[in-house]
Amino acid sequence: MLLVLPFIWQVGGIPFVNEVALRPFGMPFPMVWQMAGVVFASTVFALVFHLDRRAGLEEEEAAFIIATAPAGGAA
Amino acid sequence: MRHTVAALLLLATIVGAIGFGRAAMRSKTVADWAVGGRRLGTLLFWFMNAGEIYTTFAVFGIAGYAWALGAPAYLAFCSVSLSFAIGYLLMPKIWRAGRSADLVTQADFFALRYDAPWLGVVTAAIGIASLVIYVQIQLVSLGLIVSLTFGQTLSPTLSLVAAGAAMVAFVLAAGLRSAAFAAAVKDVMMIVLVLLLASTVAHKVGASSMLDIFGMAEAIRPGIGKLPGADPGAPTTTVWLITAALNVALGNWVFPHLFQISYAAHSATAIRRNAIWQPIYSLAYFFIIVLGLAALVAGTMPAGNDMNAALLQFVSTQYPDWVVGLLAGTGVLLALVPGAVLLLTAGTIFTRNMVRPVCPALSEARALAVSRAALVAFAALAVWLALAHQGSLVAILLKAYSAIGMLGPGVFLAFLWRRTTASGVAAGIAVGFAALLAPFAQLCWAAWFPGWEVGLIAMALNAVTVLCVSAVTPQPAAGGVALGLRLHTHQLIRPLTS
Repeated sequence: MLLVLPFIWQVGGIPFVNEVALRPFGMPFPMVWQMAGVVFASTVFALVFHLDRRAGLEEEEAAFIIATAPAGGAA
Repeated sequence: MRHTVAALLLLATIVGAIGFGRAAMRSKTVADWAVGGRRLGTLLFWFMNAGEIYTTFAVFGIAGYAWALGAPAYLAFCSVSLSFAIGYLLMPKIWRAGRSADLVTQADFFALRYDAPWLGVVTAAIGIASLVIYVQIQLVSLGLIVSLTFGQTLSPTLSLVAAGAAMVAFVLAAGLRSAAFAAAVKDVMMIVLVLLLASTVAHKVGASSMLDIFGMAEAIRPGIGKLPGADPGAPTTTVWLITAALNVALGNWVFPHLFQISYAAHSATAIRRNAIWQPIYSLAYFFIIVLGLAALVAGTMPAGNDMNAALLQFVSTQYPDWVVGLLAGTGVLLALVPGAVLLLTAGTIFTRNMVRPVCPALSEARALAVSRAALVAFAALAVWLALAHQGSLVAILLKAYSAIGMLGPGVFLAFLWRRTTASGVAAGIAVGFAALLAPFAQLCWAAWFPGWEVGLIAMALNAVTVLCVSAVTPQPAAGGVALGLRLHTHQLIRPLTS
C-alpha cells in the first residue's frame, strides 16, 4: 500500500537522518527531513486520492449515501 | 494594557460564539447536536479537524520542548502526517459505520460491532478517562496563562481552579456550535500571532535572520538539533521518537471525539480530501520550534524552570504589552475551546453509554441534567489531576495517547478481522492496562526496551491478546460484523435502537 510510504520516510528514516551533519539553510538536517516528510505525505495522499477516484470509489460512496439517507424514525 | 487586550479579545469571541450558537439553535435531536447532522463539508470538516489538533499542546508544549530539549520537538512533524496516513483509510470506515447505524459516540460503535452492550460501558469508561487527561493538558496551560496575566497575585492552585470553572462556564453557556465558532477565531488568531512573533523574533534575540536562530541555539547547546536533544543523557533517543510517533499516529483516531468528528462528515470524499491538506498545516510547527529556540537563545528562564511556560515567559519579557495581551487572550481560547468540546464529549458518552444501559427509562430532561452534572465532575477531576501532576505538556499528552491506545486494537481489528470478539477486545484492554500501569511491568520495559514509548508496547501486547482470545471465542453476530467490514449497500443494517 502506498500509504506505508510516509511511515518509511518519517519513522524509518529517523535513525539514519539523525546522524547527518548537513545543515541546509542553517537548519538541522533531521528537522528538514521531517518537514519534507510532511510534504511527501500530502503528495502520497493526493496520489492515492486520485487512484481511488479513478477506481470509482466516489460513485460507490454516492450510492451508499443515497441508500443511507435518513429514512425517518432514525434516532 | 495586556489585561485590556486579552479581555477584549475574549469578550468579543465569547459574545460572538454564543450569538452564533443561539442563532442556529435549531438542532432537534441529540444526533444533530453531537455530530452536526452528518452534514459537514470539506471546509467545515477541515476546521473541525484543525481545531482538534492545534491546541495549547501544539503551541506551548512544542515550544517548551524546543526550548528545553530541542530535537524531540520534531515529534510535532510526524504526528499529523502519520495520523492522517492511517486516518485516510480509517476515517471513511468509521464514517460508514456511523452513518449506516446512526451511531453518535465511540462506545455506540463498540457495543454494536461486538454485539456487547457491556463492552460499550467499558470503552465509554476508558474514553472518558483519556478525555479527562486531555482536559488536564488544557487546564495546565490555561492556569499558566492566567498566572502570567495576573502575575504572582494568584496562586497556581487558585489559577487552575479558576481555569476549570471558566471551562465549565463556557461549555454550559455555549454548546458545540459556539465552540466551533470560537475555534475558527482562535485558529485565525493563532496563525496571525505565530507569524507576527516569528517574523520579528530574529531582531529580538539579535540574530540576523530567522534561520540564524538554529545556529545560535546549536552554539549554546551543542547537539540540540539532533536526537536525543540538548541533554545527551536524555531518554529521548531515536528509538523514543520512532515509538512515540507510531503511538501518536495509532492512538489519534481512537479518541472518542475524533470518532464523532468522523461521523460528522457529509461524505467520505470530504474526509479523504481533508487528509491531503491537513498535514501541510502542520508545517506551521516550524515557526513554533523557532520561537522555542529563540526563547533559549534569549536566555529565557520561566518560573520554576517550567518548560510549558517558556514561550509565554519569552514573549512577556521581549514583546510590547499588547502582543502579550493578544497571546494571553488567544492562549485562553486555545485551551478553552478544545477543553469545552472534550468535556461535552465526555458528558455525552457518560449519559448515553454508561447511564442509559443501566436505567433505560431516563427522560430527555433528566439525561441532560446527568450530562451536565457529569461534565462538572469530570472538570473537577481534571483540575485535581492538573494540581497533582504538573508534568510537561508533551509527557501528559503521551499519557493520554497511551490510555486511549488501549482501545486501538479493538477499533482497528473491528475493521480488519471478522472474528474479533468482545471477549477478545476486553481481554486485550485488561492486558494492555496491566502492561501500562503495573509497576513490575514498568521495570521490565525499562530494562528490555530502553527508550521505548510504553504505550506502544502495551498496545502491541493488547493486540496479540485480542487475536488469541478472539480465535477461541464465538464470533459476534453478523449484523455487528458487517458494521466493521466493508458494508455494501445491500447489507445495510438499520439502527438497532437501544
